[in-house]
Amino acid sequence: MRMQKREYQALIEAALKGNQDAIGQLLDRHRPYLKMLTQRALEGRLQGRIGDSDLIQQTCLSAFRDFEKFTGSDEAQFVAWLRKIHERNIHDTIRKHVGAEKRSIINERGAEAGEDQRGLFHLETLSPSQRVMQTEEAVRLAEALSLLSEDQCEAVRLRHLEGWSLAELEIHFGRSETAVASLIKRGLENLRKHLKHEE
Amino acid sequence: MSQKNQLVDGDLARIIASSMRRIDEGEVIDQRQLLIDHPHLKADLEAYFADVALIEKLAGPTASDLLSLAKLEDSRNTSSFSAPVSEVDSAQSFKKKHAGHNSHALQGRFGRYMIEKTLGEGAMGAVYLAHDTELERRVALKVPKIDGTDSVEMLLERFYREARAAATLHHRGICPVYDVGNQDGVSYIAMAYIAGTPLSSCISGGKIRSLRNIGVVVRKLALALESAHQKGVIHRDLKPANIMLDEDNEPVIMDFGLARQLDKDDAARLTVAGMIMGSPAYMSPEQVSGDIDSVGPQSDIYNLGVILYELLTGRVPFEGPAVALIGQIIAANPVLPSKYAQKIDPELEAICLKMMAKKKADRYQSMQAVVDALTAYLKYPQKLSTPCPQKTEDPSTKAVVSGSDEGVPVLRNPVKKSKAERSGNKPRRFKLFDFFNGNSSRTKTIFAAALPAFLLLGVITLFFRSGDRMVQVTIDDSTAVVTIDGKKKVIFDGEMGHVELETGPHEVTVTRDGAVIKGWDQFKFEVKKNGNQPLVIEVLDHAAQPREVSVTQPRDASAASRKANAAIDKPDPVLSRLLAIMKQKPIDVQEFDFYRAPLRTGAYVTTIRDGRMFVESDLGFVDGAWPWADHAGSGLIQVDVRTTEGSGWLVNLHNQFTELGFLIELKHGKLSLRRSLFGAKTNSLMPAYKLLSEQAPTHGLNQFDQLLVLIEGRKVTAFLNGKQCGHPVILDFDIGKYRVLVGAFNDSREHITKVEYERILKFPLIDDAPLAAGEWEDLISDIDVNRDVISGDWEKTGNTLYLNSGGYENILRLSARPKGSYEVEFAFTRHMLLTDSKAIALALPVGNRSVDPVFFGWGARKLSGLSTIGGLSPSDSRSPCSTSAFDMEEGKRHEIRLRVLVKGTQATISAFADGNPLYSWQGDISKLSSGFQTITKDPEDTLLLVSHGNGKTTFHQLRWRRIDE
Repeated sequence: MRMQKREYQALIEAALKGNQDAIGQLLDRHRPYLKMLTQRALEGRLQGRIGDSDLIQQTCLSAFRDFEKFTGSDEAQFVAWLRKIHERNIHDTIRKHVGAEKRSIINERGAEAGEDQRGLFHLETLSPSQRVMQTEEAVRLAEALSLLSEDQCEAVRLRHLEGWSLAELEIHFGRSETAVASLIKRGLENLRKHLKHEE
Repeated sequence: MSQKNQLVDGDLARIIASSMRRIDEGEVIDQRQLLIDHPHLKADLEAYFADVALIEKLAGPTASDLLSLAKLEDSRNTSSFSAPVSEVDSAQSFKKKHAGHNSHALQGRFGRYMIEKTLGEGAMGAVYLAHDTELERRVALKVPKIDGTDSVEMLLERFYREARAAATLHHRGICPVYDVGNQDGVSYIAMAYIAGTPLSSCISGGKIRSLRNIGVVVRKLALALESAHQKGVIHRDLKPANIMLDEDNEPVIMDFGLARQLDKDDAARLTVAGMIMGSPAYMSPEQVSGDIDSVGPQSDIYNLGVILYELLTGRVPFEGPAVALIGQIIAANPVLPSKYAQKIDPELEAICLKMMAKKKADRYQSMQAVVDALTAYLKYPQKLSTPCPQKTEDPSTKAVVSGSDEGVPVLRNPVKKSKAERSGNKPRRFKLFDFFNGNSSRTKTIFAAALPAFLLLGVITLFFRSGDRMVQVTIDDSTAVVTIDGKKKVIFDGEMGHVELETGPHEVTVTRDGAVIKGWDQFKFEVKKNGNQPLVIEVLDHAAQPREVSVTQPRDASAASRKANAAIDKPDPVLSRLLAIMKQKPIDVQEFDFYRAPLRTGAYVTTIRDGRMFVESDLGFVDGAWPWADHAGSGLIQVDVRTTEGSGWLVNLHNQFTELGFLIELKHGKLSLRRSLFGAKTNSLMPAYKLLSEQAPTHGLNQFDQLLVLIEGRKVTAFLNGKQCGHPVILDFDIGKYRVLVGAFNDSREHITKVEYERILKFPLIDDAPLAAGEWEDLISDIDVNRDVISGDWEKTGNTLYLNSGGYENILRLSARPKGSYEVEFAFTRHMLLTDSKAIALALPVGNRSVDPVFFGWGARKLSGLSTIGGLSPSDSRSPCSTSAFDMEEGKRHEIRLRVLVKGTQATISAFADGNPLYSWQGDISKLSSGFQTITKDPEDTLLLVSHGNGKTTFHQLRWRRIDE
C-alpha cells in the first residue's frame, strides 16, 4: 500500500542523507510507475524484444548509483528525475535495438521508433487520446493499477491511459465487447478501492 | 434471484460497452440521460462514471486536451460526477454471492435440476448426475471448485467464458452443453450425460487393440477438435478421462474448454508444491511451463498426441512425480512407441511423434492436418498388414535408414522429416561460441568429468548396431551429445544418428548440458570384423562403470569409411597433456559455428555441409584469409582441415600490433608448415613465411590434418599433426585480443584449391590452468544474522541461508576478506518471486578496490545469465556479459562460481554457472566501477552478497578459497 505523504517525505530525506536502504525503498515504490512508462514507450514497437523489467532494473540501478546527483527535495522532483533517467534509458535501448535490428523494425513498424531525441512522451508523440501522466498522481495511479489482476490492469490502462478504442480492445483480449466492458468496469471498481484504501 | 443479478450484470456491461463505443465514435455521452434510461442500474452506472472520473483525474489530461483547450468541455462532462454515490462494498457482496461454491456437495433439488448422484470429483470441481425436471432428461452438472489459490472472480469469469464458448459447439464428438448458470450462488454447467466408458478405462483394459481402430478413434477425436478449433475454442485439458466412448462406441469429448489455464504462478506451484493440478502427464511443454500465451490449438494437438501414444503403447510418454514429469515434458524425447510395441506402423508412430513435438512449429499446424495425416494412414491398409520383416525381428531397427552411404556420416530421421527441413544440417543442441562477437551463447564443456549430470531427465539409451557398414547410435535424450573418438560428433536429427566407423577400438563420449555424463566419458567399444550381432546398450545408471562392448563391423570397410576416420583420432601428446591439465576443472571449449562464415569473401567461396566448412579458392595466386573469430588471451587453438584439392590452407592470428600467419602447404604429398610474423596488418606474401618444418607429419590429400597453436602470453608454439614445428615465436607483446583468420591457399593459375574445415576450437584459460588453490572455506557458518545483515530478511538454519523477502537490495556481509586471487562459489534456488527483480550479485574485492556487483539473473520470469560487471550493463558494447549464457530457473538449484585473478593492476574475472563458463573479463582494475562496499561503508576487501527483489531464495552453499599465483 502506498505510504503517506509524510512518510514518503521522510524517506526522501533519509535518502538524501545517504541512507541506501531508503533509496532502495524509494525506487521500489516507483517500479509500477516505471513499468507503466516502459509499457507506454514500447507499446507495439519493441515489446517482446526488450524485457520491461530489464529496463526498469537498469533505471533503478542507474538511479541508485547516481542518487547523489539528485538535487531535488520532494516527491515531484524525484519522480521527474527518475522519469528522466528512465526515458533516457528507454531511448538508448530503443536506439540500440533499432540499430541492431533496423531491417526488421522498419519492416514492421516504420522507422519512427527511437528517432525522437527529445523526451519520449512529448505531446506530439502521443496520440490525442493518450493521457499525459506527468505528475505524482500518475505514480499513485500506477501503483494502484499494479495491484489489479493482470487483465484488469491491462484493460484499464489501455482504455483510460492509452486511449484504445473498444474495438481495439476486443481484438487485443479476444473477448466480446461486453466482456471487455465488464473487465474495465471491474478494474475501475477495484482501482477505486485500492486508491481509497491508501487514503 | 441470482440469475436475475446476472442479467443485470450483463445489462450493465452492455450499456457500458455501448457508451464506450459511442465515445470512440466521437459522441459525447450524456450520463444523466443514461441514468434516466436505465433506472434499475442507476447506482451501478453512477459508480462506474465516478470511477472513470477518478482515473481520468489521476491520469491527467489527454494529449489533445493540452493541445486544444477547446476540448475541455469533454473532460468536464466526463468528470462531472463527484465521488461515487453508492458505496456498496461489492467485494463483500461478491463473496457472499458465491459463498456456495465452497466445496460442500450438492444434494436434492437444485433449481430446475434434481441431483441424483455424484459422478466424480476432480481438481476442477464436481460432476453430478442430475435430472432436468423441465425438459425431462438426464444431464451432467458440473460445478467448479473454488480453492484458496484462485481469485473467485477470475475463476468464475473464466468458467463462464469457457462454458459459453463450449455451448456454441455442435459436433457428434463433443458433449453438448445445455445450460450455464448460477443457482443459489453456485455456478454450474449442465451438459449431456453420456452413458458409456471413459477412454481411460479402455486403455487400461486394452480394449482398443488394432492399430486401425486406434487410428479411427484418434481421427474422430481430431475431427471433433477441429470443429471446435474452427470456432476458436480450445480444449486445453484433453486426456482419456475426459473422453467417453458412448453406447455406440463413438468417442465424445467432455469438459470442453473448462480446464483451468496454468499461468506461470501455477506452474511454479506445481513445480514447488507438487500436485495441485493433478498429473500433468498429458500437458504440452507450453502448458507445463506456464506459457499461457502460446497455449492454443497446437496444445490440443500435443495432448491428443499423448493420447495416441498411450493408445499405441499402453503407457504415457513420461511418467513419474510431477516435478520430474515437467522436466521431461519440456526437455526429454519420448521413447519411441515402437520400442514398446513391435507392431506399430512407422506411419502412425511418425504421426504420433509429430503431434508430440516439443516445439509448436514442429507439430502439425492444425488439427485438420492431423485429420489428413490419419486419413492418409487409414487409406493404405496394406501397410498395416505387411510390417517389414526387419521390424518383427527387432523393432528398433525399423528406424534404420538403409542405403545411406557416401562416406560421410549420414543422419536420417525417418520420423520427423520436418525437423530436418527446418534446421538444415545444423547440429542440434549445440549452441556454439560466437567468435565474431566474442559472445558465448553456450559454451560446452568437454573432458570435464567432475560435473554433475542432471538426473532429472532420466534414462539415456544408446544403441550401437551394425548395419551394412553402419553403426547406428540412437539416443532418447535430445539434450545429450555423443562424440566418438573424441572428435567425431554424432549429429542427431531427431533421435537417430549414424556414424561410420573403422574396424578397431573406439571411444564414445556422451555429454549432456555440456557435462560429461559421469561414468561414460570412457565408454569404449570395439568394432570387429565379421560377426553380425546387433548391440544394444542401455545406460540406465549414470554412475555405472564404463564397460567394454563389441560391435560388429562390415567385412570390407570401404575406402570412404577409412578416409573419414583416419586422421586425427590418435590423441595428440601435446593436446593430451593440455587436456590432462584442463580435466581438473571445467574447461570451456569454444567451437566456431561455421554457419557464421561469410559465403564469399574475395577469392573464396564457402559452403557449409554436414557441419563442415568447404572453402574453395579461385584460380591464381591467393593466400588470403578473412577476419573471423575473435579471441583474447592465452589458449590453445585447434584447427582441423582436410585439403581435397590444390595447395593448402592457412591460419592467421591478427592483433592490434601484429599478424602471425601459419601456412600449411601440401606439395608432392608432403606437408610443410611455414610461419610469418608481420608488422601491423601488412598482408602476407608467400616468401615472408619462414619454413618451420619441411616434413611435418602428414596425412596427405583427403586426410584431416590438425594445426594446434598454443598461445602462452607472448609465446606462440605451433604443432602440426601432433608434432611441434620449429621453435616458439616470442611476440613483442602479450597477444591480447586477436582474431583468427582461416582460408585456403593457392599458388597456381592452373588449379583451384579446395579445403574442408572440420572444426575450429579454442581452449581458453590455459594460462590459469595450474592454479594452486587453497581449501574451500564455508561462509554460511560464519554468518551472524544480527551482525552481518545490512538489509533484507535473511535467516540462517543450520548451514542453509534463506532470504525470505526484502526490498530492492538485500545485502549480506560475508566473512571472507579476499586479497589477491580467489574463488567464490554459491549454490542457490530462487523460489517464487514477488517482484520482477531477481538478480543476485556479489560485490567483489578486486585488488585494492571494491568492485561493482557481478549480477546473475536479471530480468523477468525467465532468469537469464550474467548481467553486469564493473558497471557495464550487458547492452554496453564493452561489456563482456552475456545474458543468454545460461538460464536460471525458479525452483531449480543453480551453482555460480566466480574467479578473481589479480596480477598487478590487471584482473581477470571469470564466471561459471552450473559448471559452464559464462564469460571472462580481463582488464585494468581501474576500469571497474566501485561497488557496494563504498555504500555500506565496509572495508574494500569485504565480500558482499546482494540479492535483489522481494522473494524467497535459498542459499545451499556459500564458500570461497584463495588462489595462489
